[in-house]
Amino acid sequence: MIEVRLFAYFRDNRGKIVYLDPTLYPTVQMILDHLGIALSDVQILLVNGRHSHAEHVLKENDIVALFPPVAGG
Amino acid sequence: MERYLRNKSSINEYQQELLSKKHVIVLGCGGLGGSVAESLARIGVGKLTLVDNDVFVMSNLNRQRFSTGKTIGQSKVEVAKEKLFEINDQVEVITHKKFIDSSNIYMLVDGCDLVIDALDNFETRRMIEMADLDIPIISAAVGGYNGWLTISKPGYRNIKHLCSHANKGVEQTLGNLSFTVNVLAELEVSLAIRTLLGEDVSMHGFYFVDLKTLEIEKIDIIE
Repeated sequence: MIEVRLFAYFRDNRGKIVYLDPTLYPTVQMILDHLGIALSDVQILLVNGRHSHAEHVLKENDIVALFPPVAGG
Repeated sequence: MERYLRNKSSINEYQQELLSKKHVIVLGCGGLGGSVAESLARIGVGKLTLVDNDVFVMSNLNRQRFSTGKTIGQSKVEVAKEKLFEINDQVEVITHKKFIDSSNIYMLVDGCDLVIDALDNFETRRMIEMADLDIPIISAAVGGYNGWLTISKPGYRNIKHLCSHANKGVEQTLGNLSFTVNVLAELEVSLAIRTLLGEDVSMHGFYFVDLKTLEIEKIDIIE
């Protein structure tokens, strides 16, 4: 399974961690579509701790982390 | 000194003396910056430079430390200087009521030991990191129930990971809550004191704070 770690308001109604089958959701974009998160709302997209992109092809045991932008002071 | 009695022994006499010789610049004197400045003064950092061009407005009252009904319309840095003198008259406070940009950043940080980034936009945060300062920058940002915290120094550029091309983030819709601001401000102070006392708190990544779940998670970024 792929572990998708959500942060900030992405957790609302989705939870902190979502597990998805890479054969059903083989790219980050498909995960975003499944979760109803717009790519434009994602500031940091990490796959296994490295910056990545929506077309990244995922494999078993990958960890995806998604953060929205936060800038306030 | 009795003033610092309750800093002991987490901060010993030698360290207290060391802090009294340190100079910290706080960029932004709103929610994060006001709280950071107050804590640094209370704990005994000897010299503070505060930079902010704004005056207090009504919408600051929900969270900004030195804003009151009476200080609306007054310069944030000047009000802060006055309040900090009441809190700890041993601390020297320098104020600059101005915007921070690439033309004045080097003049502002000259002689400082540490930068506190308490700004409210990505553009200036990115600029101070790209300025390649020779002192550490401790940064934090807030939006709603969440915030992030990191430290950048030569060889450890972390702010860039957190800045989008838009100049603002989710705080535009989720607001800035008092408790989120103050938690992140005190986390900045915690990192600042450890850094000023010589501890290596370098990281590749950032801490993410969630005040709904009461969690602080360290996010490592591999480059």
